[in-house]
Amino acid sequence: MSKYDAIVIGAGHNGLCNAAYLAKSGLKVLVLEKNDYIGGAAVSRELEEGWLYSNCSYVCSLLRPEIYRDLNLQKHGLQVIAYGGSVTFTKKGDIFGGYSDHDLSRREIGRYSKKDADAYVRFSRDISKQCRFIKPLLMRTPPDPTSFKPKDLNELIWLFKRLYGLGEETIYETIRFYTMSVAEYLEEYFENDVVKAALSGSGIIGTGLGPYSPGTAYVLLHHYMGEVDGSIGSWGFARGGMGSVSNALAGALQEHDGEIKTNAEVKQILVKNGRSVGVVLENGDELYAKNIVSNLDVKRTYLKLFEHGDLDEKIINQVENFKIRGSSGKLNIALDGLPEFPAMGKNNPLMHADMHFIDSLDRIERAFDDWKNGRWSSDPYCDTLIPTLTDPTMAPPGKHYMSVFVQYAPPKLATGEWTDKDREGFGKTVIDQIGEYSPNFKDLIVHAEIRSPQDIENEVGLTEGNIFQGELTMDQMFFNRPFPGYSQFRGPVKGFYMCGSSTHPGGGVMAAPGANAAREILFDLKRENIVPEAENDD
Amino acid sequence: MTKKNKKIAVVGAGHNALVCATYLAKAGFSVDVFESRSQVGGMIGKRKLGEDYSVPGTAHLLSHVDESVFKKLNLKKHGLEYSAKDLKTVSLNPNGNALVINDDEVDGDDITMKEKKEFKELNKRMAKLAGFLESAYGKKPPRLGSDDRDDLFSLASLGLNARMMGADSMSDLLKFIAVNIYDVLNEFTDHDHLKGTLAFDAILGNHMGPRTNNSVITYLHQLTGGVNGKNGSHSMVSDGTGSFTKSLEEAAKKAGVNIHLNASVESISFTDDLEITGLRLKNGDAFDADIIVSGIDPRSTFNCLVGPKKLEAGVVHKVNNVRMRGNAAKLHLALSSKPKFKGMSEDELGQRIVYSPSMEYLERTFDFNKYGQISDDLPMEITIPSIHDKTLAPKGHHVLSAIVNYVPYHLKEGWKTQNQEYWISASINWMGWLQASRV
Repeated sequence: MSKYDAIVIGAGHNGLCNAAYLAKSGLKVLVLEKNDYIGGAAVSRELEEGWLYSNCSYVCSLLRPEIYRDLNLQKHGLQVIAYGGSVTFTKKGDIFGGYSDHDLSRREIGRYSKKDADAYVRFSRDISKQCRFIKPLLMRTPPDPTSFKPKDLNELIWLFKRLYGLGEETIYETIRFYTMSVAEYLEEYFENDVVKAALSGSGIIGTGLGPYSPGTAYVLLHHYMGEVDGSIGSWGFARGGMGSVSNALAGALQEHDGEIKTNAEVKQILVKNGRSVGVVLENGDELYAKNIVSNLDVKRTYLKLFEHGDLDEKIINQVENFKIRGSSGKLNIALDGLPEFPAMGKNNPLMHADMHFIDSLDRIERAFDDWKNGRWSSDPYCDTLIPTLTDPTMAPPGKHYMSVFVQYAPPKLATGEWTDKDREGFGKTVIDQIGEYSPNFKDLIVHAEIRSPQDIENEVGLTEGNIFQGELTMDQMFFNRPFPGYSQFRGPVKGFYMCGSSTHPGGGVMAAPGANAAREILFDLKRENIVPEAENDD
Repeated sequence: MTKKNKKIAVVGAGHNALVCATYLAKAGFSVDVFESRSQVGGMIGKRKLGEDYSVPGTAHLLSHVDESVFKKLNLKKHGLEYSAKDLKTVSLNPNGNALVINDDEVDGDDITMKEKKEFKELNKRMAKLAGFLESAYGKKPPRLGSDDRDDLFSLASLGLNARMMGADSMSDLLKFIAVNIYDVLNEFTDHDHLKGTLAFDAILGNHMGPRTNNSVITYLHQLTGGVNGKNGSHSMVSDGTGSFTKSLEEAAKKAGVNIHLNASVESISFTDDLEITGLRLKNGDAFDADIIVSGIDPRSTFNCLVGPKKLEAGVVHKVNNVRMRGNAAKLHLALSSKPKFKGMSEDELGQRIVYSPSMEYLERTFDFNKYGQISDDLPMEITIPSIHDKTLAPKGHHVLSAIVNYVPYHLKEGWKTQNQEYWISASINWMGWLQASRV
């Protein structure tokens, strides 16, 4: 007799969210985590005494608000604090500010180009149109376009009607949008290079694509879908670091009597007569449950946890061809005080914003070329933040924490695996770039954690250190995610499900894949659906 | 008004414009074609090279054609002749190991039985998708978002056609359509040279590297249509493609089309209510017409012939957003004897010769193009039409025609004579290194 109705492998935020919904529905659930802490890539870690690092994911705004409310995450300690905008430092010593306030942004763009300020109005309108179209899809299970089942046909018709509801003009725009590069998309609106560079960043974060690669316009959208308190495209910090997101989800799980076991790495998924029946842990323990859910990415799940003979060749081939490319690294830096950026001044509210030190599309594309050729970018795109200006709980009084997300860094270098020396060189490249714009920055560094994609894989488990558990390209999105035939969260053996970012709607601390998978599991178990739909914000 | 007195003016005498004009004339309209140059054909047609040599003007191979059109217009009777059909592709490699592709067979360059099988499998899967594309090409694209019955019907039939390919092929279509050829070929085989050769088809003429998404669709495009019902096949037209243009011209004339050469159109004339009244030519002449068909590209059509002032702002914006970047250059050489290429036998000289040893190589050369520069080692497609057609060069001599990819229209530093010489010498050096001989 198994003690559990479901075992969830991996205590990432999606695994926890999935487990929380299953437990809430009354199932007996166990979450297994290989590390001695939960959260996967949404963690707060004290690697230097007194400092908390959000050492993987670092901002919280894609988190679906309906899940936040439905699971009562606020009660479980999650508080999201909005922060404003972005700033791009130019080679010429100027800055370009991006604000959450539309009029402020327009005025700033006007400083660089009057024409672009007008174009920005059209741009914002068009982007929000796309966001509104896609949002409701996030919390729905994609239909299988090759299926004739009523459930799939109904969903396809719903989708078709929704697309048609956009009207002719917007349908064409939508199709173009999905197949274009972010650079070309922006070039249709803007002429100024700094403006384009500043807006393009969201299109490349986390992907193995450059700004001129078609498909990146969608990635831009994926990052624009975030919201904090209902304001689209705004970003927020989780108070106390990203670990608060995971802790709150774990709180929701425990409220419904779900269990979590850390230091419990799963070695194998047991399959009997075409059905998953349990798992074997590294220490040899066997745990049984009728339903097994994996929060790990597809490569790790199918290539490492399944016995080869339990899966057929076709699916193994699909898994092997799944694109999951490490393209980013991370620096977490403890600072003795606040660094100064002479180009913007100490009291500029943009000190709280995302800082970027790259001011042209060509420079970003060249950063991508380096990655393509197996090197970290010599002039990288860094998304730099000082969260402690907004949330002082993450560092001792008067001190600061800086989070630097670095695009691009390859999972494997042309010279071979990452060595300590490489890691140092990579860190130096990033620190030098920031130092160029902040003269006292280097002197303030108390501690720096430098993470290559390989480090991220080793610790968190994300294959190649890909932050989205798989590239967000057309061939791997919606009913193609992770691959055709398996987009509805069910695996190739009965009783087995996927709930990580490898599934629809993909990466980001969104919790939607976990919730979506729970909906399908409850459906199979003939239980009432308790997973909320996306709220209409029109 | 009857058809007979409805006047149609066609701008440009490229092959599509001529086909359109001929169809309309056959249907009973009065059709006039206006061509700025002294010969018809646009990108197709013979061109003089020096005193004694002739070469195909721009296009040098005939591929992905819709043969049903040829039949309807009876082009064969009007003079269309092939000097060679079903050409093989010979892909050169710096190490001298050429790869020969003949339909779905591939040989040479240490290719293994496994890789040969992989190529067959790739062909089979791609041909199915290309077939879908081809069937869609033959139809008017539906207007999306319209509730017109015809549009909805053609949309539904597209969907049905996709579904009828079978679940696997439909999944292939939905998965491959927006991705890049680099990833797809890597899924099929490990043979670098083979992948480089195939990826070349995807990027030829496009502003794309093999890793650029959407390059699978451009690859599939190359597999649609073909001479003799053989999809993706390449043929050479006799008289340096001249017999093709001549047959189109004859067919058009026979149908009653009036072709005006050296007649450059300046603008389309409108009434104050924006109704079309006709054309105005550069030489000052005016021509009345009820319908205008433009055979030239959309940017030139709307920006030059119509004029932005007559268009809504949204349309002007869209026209300017049509991406059309020149990436390919043409190189013609007159040769004093048959050239020799490393790793290629003499009897293969008449085939389609490609230089694109690997996808990584293509991507690298594309990177130069991306930043408005030129690599010193360019991928190209070469033909030596004089092998099949002795009239193109004096006895024993030959002409070589190459389409050299990744030569950007907009060079960052601006085009100067030395740049021009640079890419030419880069191309020739390369061929020289392959031991070509030159006049």
